[in-house]
Amino acid sequence: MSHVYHDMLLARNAYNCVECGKCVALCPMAETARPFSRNTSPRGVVQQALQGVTVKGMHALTHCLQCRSCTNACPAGVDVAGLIADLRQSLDGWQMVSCVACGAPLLPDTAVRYLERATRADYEASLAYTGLCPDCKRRTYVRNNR
Amino acid sequence: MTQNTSQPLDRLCDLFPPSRAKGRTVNRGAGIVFDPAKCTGCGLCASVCAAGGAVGKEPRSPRVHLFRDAEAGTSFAVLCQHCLDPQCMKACPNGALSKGKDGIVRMNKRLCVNCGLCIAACPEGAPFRAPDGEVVKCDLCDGEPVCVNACPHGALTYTKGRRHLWIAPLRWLCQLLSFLLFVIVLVGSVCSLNVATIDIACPFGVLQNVFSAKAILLTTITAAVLFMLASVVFGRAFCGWLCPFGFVLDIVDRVIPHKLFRLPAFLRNRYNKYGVGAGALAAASLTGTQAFCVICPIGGVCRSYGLNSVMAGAEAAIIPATAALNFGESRSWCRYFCPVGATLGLAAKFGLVRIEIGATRCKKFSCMRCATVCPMGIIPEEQLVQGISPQITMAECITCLRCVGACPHGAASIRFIWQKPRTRHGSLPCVCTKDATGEKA
Repeated sequence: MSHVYHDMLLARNAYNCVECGKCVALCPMAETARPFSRNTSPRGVVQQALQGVTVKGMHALTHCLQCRSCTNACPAGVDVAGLIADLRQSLDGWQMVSCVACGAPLLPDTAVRYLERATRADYEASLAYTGLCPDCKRRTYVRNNR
Repeated sequence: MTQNTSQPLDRLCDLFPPSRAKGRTVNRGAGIVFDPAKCTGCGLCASVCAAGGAVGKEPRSPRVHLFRDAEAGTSFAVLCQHCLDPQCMKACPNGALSKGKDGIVRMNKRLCVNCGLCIAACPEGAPFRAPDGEVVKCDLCDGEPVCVNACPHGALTYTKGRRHLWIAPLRWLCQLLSFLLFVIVLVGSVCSLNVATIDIACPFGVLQNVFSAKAILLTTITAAVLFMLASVVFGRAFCGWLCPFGFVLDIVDRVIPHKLFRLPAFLRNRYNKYGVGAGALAAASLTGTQAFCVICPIGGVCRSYGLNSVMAGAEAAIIPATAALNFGESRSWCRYFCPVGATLGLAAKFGLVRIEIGATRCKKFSCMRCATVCPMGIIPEEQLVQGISPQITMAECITCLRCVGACPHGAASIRFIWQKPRTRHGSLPCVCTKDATGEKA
């Protein structure tokens, strides 16, 4: 059977998915991209890809943090994070929020909004360190304190 | 399982007890303080941390990283500060991070999914992502950090936090005694005081005298100069330690610590007090009287107690009104309006004493106790948040030493002008790109 994402699915072992849901239990999207629905989850992405849903319909693609906890947890050996990264290639007009200093992709915008929600409450003044990738952040911290 | 059944289990972390730390709650900041001046960049801290501190243990990824700056030739260890109010804890979607009763922020690896949101939330990026994707974070080795013991140059020090707890009682006693002595025993004596043969007089009162009489009297001038000399040596210590009205304001601040209103912006200008002073001097020269002394709350407090009467005339209105400014911001009168403090501030500006906040022991964004405790509000929290040591304007500082007493790390200190400053004041937070500074060790 020819499939839209056949090569991708094969390369990432996605046909092995047994829908056990271990990846769903670990996924931080549950907090960063509420409401966490069936399709906004790693398993949702795999299942949608297997069903041939277009990338526009896979909402989880724009929320994934690429932490790879789903890949590490999968008992069937599906590289879910890799599959999401592959599918993102064909997703036009969307990109991660990138580091303001070096331009490296940092976090999806939903995760940035989540961080603002979770931490900003105490800091009215904007942090000098928001919007930096960890390496640039450490460098800036060192530069300001040495 | 001792779960509160009324609250549904929202997250997995609710199954676990929040902290396994024993003992009483320590809200002094435990942590490792790094001194870049002593660091030679040998990297032993990272190696020892990677070894886990024990021979024969499986090597792990280090919790402390050493950054070397090739240009400046300096090194800097980045490690967890164990903040009083940890951002990582708030950011963690799984509740894997918790602050124990001993002040140590721990990461529960059973709950952590290595999403890296703690790294994104931490101002210094102290949790590290190991090459295998695992996020690791310093747990102070449960109170016995191996890196501190290993550092051959003493650049890392483990501190449970210390405070100069004797400062506050001493100041309150000093204020109380000065209130009793100057106001109740010797009525009206702060304005001009005779101790044996030495005259000491309020410098602003003397200035008004000069302007109203349009003549310079040598005796009063020397009396004022003594007061100013004391300010040169000790800063505005009169305001913080002796001023009877300042004592009243401090008591008001203790009684009503919550800020009830906000003064309008044009009143919240620290140059106002110079304007008030100039206006008072102009009035003094026009009317030929000591115009400000009539409404001066410091003199008012002195005149209002003891043998004369309790708050008669103008004082009955002035003192409560100026004290009520405190409901907006603590010591509002001293901050924005007091011309006596302004005069002393001019002397303190060229004074011998500096209050230094920051230095290498300061944990900046992770603590900020000095900023919350400062009655004059001159320690900018926004600079500390950005990891910068703020410079203290001595003309505004009343040298009450609350910051010195409150700092758990000994980072707020008194320095004399001939001592080398220990703080490198950053003006603006600089954002560094990869090629601007040295590479990661």
